[in-house]
Amino acid sequence: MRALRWVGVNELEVGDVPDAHVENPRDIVVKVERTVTCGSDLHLLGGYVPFMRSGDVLGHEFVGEVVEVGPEVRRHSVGDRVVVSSFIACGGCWYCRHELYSLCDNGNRNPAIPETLWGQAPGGCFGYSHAMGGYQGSHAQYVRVPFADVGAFTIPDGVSYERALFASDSVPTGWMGANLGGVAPGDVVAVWGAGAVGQMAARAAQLLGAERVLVIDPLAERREMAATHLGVEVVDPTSQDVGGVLLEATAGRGPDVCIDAVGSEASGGGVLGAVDKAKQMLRLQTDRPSALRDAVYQCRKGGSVFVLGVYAAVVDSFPAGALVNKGLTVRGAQMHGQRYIPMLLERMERDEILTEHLATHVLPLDEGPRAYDLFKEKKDGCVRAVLRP
Amino acid sequence: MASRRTTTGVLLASAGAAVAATAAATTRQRRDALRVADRRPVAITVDRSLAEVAGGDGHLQGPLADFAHQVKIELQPAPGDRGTEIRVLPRDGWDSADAPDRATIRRAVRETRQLIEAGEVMPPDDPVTRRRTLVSGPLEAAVRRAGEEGRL
Repeated sequence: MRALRWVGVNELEVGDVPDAHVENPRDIVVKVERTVTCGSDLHLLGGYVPFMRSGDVLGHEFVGEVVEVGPEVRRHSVGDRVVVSSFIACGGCWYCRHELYSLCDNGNRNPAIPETLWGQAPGGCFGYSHAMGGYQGSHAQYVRVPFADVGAFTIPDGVSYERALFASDSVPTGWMGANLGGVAPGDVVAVWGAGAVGQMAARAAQLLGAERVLVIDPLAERREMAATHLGVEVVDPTSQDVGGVLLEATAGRGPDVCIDAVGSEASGGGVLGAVDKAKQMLRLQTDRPSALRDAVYQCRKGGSVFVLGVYAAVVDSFPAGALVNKGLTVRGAQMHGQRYIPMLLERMERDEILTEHLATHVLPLDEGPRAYDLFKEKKDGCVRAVLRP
Repeated sequence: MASRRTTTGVLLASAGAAVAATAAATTRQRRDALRVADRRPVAITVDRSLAEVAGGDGHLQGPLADFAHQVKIELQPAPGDRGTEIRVLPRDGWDSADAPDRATIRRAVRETRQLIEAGEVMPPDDPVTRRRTLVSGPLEAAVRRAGEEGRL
């Protein structure tokens, strides 16, 4: 079958790989209909997560049709239209029982690698390096889905593939940030990043009753998209004083909940931003945390900061003083998709969550390298590039 | 002047020796700590009751059971609804002639938990490298041991 493969730092190619097939009784095989680029792929692409083998298939956010079913699968049949959670979870461990699916004890085939990196191993993830289980990704004609009754969900008839695609990762990630960040009616919520995840975090905050939602992004087309499609307030950090705007919006209190939907590739300006880039290039830190720093600094006393943006390992100049002296709660997670996807599909069916506008570019699989070029360099207003195998 | 240079040189050499000695001592302490850690039981928590983990006949099932003649397996309820703790030690200690390899036991406890909680053991990660990269050698070594090593 054809697939988009990572072959070296900033090198992608489309080629033939072994066919996906049922390996375990709880597996299904999905014929991929739509699969989409994600900002977290860029850490792999650029070699900042050094656990990729040449030939690995990228992609973790996808929808498709079930074409093969293992003997112990109960909830799916051949022909079902499904959206699949990007994180792979067994459904039977303590973490799954507590709906912390991305922390599953049994979803990662290479637990020793993340145990060494982070102290404990999270679950597995499609197409997301050997630190996350070494599973082949969804940028392919077919993909094997382990623990299918736990991680694959039938798409309601009234929801198109185009909309459901983002229920695989972006929408549940955004929802989780607002939900576990503790957004409540009357809150003012600030979201750093107006990519797909940031926009969906903002939409979740609206649906959870936030009084005002402000989205911060340096890219004009993304701010415009968030303002037009979500009706949120937007802030341009290149021309506005973000702290001043947030203090004014909250009459001096600061936002109740701050969400970092940028992560490791933040392009913070000023001297600190330049120092961050230099340190990352020299591998003195793995990630650039300018959005996280700002979120911690701007948050109100006793407020909550949720980290949705992906970080690989270590950052410098973290504002620990602000964290302690303002009594903040800082929490982060990879997304617990299985917890949210059924509810999100219902909301999509009721048109409460719309995602079609995020797919700014749709290309055939063979143009995968170009899709990543558009996405990485944010060319032509690219927010997300969708591939059709 | 020569005397001052000599004094400076002696001071620098002394400081260097002190740093080297401290580093060596720290390394020794760490190595000793790791050695002690390696003599501890291999332990894991399974999210099932003691009765479910022990099985109907009171004996643990799964890959760990294959080592029953070489190791002592201790089962006890984990605190606060966290399931059952499994601790494994060779019958005559890790240094004994018939003690299994610690890494092998680590893999066996991981797979035992998977089998009990998930009903299946994930197939191992498959090497598919088509081209050598800067990190592919160490990564392949890490992946080969990824079910055995780590902090478990």
